[in-house]
Amino acid sequence: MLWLYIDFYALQLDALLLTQDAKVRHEDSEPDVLVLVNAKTNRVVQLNDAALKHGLKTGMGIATAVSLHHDVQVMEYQPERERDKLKQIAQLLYDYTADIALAPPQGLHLRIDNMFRLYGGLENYWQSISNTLSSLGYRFRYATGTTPPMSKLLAQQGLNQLLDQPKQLKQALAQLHIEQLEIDQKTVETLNRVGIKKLQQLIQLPMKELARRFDIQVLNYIGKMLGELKHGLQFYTPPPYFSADLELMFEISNTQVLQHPLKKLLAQLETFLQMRNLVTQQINVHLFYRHQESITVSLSRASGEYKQEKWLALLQLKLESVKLTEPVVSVQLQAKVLQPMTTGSQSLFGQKQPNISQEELISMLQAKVGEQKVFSLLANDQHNPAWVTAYQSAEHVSSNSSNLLSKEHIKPRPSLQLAEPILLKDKVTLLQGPERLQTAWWQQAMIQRDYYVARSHDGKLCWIFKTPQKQWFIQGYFA
Amino acid sequence: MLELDKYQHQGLIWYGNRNDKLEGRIPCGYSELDKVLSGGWPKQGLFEFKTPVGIGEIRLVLPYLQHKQSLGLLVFIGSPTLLNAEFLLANGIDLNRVLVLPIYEPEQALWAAEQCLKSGCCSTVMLWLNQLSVKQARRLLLASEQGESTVCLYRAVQAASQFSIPSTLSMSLKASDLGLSLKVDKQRGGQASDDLVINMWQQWPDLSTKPVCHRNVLPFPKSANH
Repeated sequence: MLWLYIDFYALQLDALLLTQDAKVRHEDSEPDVLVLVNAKTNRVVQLNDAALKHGLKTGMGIATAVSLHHDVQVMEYQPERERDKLKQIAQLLYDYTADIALAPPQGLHLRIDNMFRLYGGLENYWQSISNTLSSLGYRFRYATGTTPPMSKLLAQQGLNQLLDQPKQLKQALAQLHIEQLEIDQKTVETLNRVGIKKLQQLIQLPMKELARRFDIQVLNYIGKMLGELKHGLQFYTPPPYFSADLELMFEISNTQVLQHPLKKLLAQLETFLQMRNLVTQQINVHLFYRHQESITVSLSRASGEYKQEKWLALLQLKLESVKLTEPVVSVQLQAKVLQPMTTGSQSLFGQKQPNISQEELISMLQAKVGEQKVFSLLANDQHNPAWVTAYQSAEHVSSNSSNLLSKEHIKPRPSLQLAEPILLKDKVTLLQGPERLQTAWWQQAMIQRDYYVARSHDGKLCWIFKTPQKQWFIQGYFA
Repeated sequence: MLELDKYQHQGLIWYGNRNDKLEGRIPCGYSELDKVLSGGWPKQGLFEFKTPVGIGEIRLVLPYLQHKQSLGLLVFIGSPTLLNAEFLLANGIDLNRVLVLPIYEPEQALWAAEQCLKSGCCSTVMLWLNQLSVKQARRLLLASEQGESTVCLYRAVQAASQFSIPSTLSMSLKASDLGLSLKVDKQRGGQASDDLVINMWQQWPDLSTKPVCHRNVLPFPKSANH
């Protein structure tokens, strides 16, 4: 087996610098000297190029650092932020390589021997990986090894070579000092005391001897590194949904302008879905304000879609109705429910090809006028006229005509029905009736009504009813 | 002449002898009306109905809706009240193919109507809208041609009488004991008509008075050929 370890040794600082680069940079001024300091140990852990130039080094105390340069900008080291970034990198690399294991906060283990057949060799493989990595803009070190700990150790020493011969790797290992190993200071001292200075000396000892002479920690470490003991790794699995965010370079208060950054995210979504042969029916766009709580714009389509231009068209419609109370500083795009891609069949010799599909039309209408204004109809078997017609979500509109009842209604029913019956005030002529409609006593709003068809003085055909209290109401019109 | 050219360009002039669109009419279900409309409803276009609410204006086009629903969705936009599903079901309208949009802002209603019309997946749009500019009407007309669909535009009589809008067919409806009293104001490739009474007794016996009883004059459909 061959492993590759990639060590992003200044991940947090680099990420910070990248966002700053995007902002306005003063050309004439000297770059700031930036260092990240571990708050617990008070030592410098990451520094930028300007800091290196002034002679600062990792492992220095703050006091030393400040004495070397008068204007050092000190920031706190936050491993959690690196962890998030690392996950993003892993997600990106997942498109190129199969087995990735996170080594938080700064490293990634990649199993590479099983990828050679796909890429046709180590060189091609490394090219696609390194291209991806350099597009990110983070500084990194790397090395290979026959076991994960070996590659990690070599990478952290800045080997930056891809060796695939065990012999070469052994050589590289042999030159390392005991101090460079990931074992605690006390053990290092113990080893030093018996004259072991280089890793070479440890490797030469048989495992049994190691176990007898030194403590279990050393045995484990060396055993795992040489592959004598198993090193368990949990491979990274990408989240089953899509989520991407974008820090805006400047604040945006116009929804029209907001489309451009969102276009980028939609393009990412398209790539994500296309590679997995998936589509999504709903995406959520979160708009983050500087002060107020974020707002969410949800877009849904009746049929799943992955293409960015289709989503963009909906988004444009939806954004027209969104009011920004404050400039937006960052946006996030999420698609949580994903489905496999399917295509509907269309008749080849149909009379006319619709310009857009029914589902698309419905999604478009919903995006523009709101979902609460697009309905399909459902007829319930009820006596109470108020319950007969149900307005339901438009997703039930289908192209197959199955629900057609061939029942021949003898009783007249109005086409237009009032939501609430109104009191009949004018004089009418009765044409038809009565038809008694009575709901069961156990139903909540029990009614007992005598319905008539009547013509009002201005010729309207009304569906009116009389309650047991002899009150007359208009229920609807025979339009 | 220049004036005339301009009007012609704007599509405001109709030619009486232009009957290229007369083929493929859809029977109205009422022989009186078929005669006036040269055989039935046009296959597509903008039908303007100037009518009060509740006199039979939907029932008039029901056979047309039934005929066209196999071609696409039936969309109701901005109906004055709720719709009754039972009525539609009982009259052979497939509820799976009906879309209801209770939109009452004119701008949005027009937008939705236009999208539906030109989508190609809607056969008929029923639109209730009083205020409508010439430009907006032309947009609907164009959209209906693009999507081979029909829009039935219902307008109140007062609102519609202000100025004429471009349409395939425009008629005024009035209530009548027998069914409906109807006057074709204009139609593409045809002529305007006088008032004529549509006898709905056969189709809607519950909703109209029987035509023969206690009447001195028999309501006989007027001839449309002047």
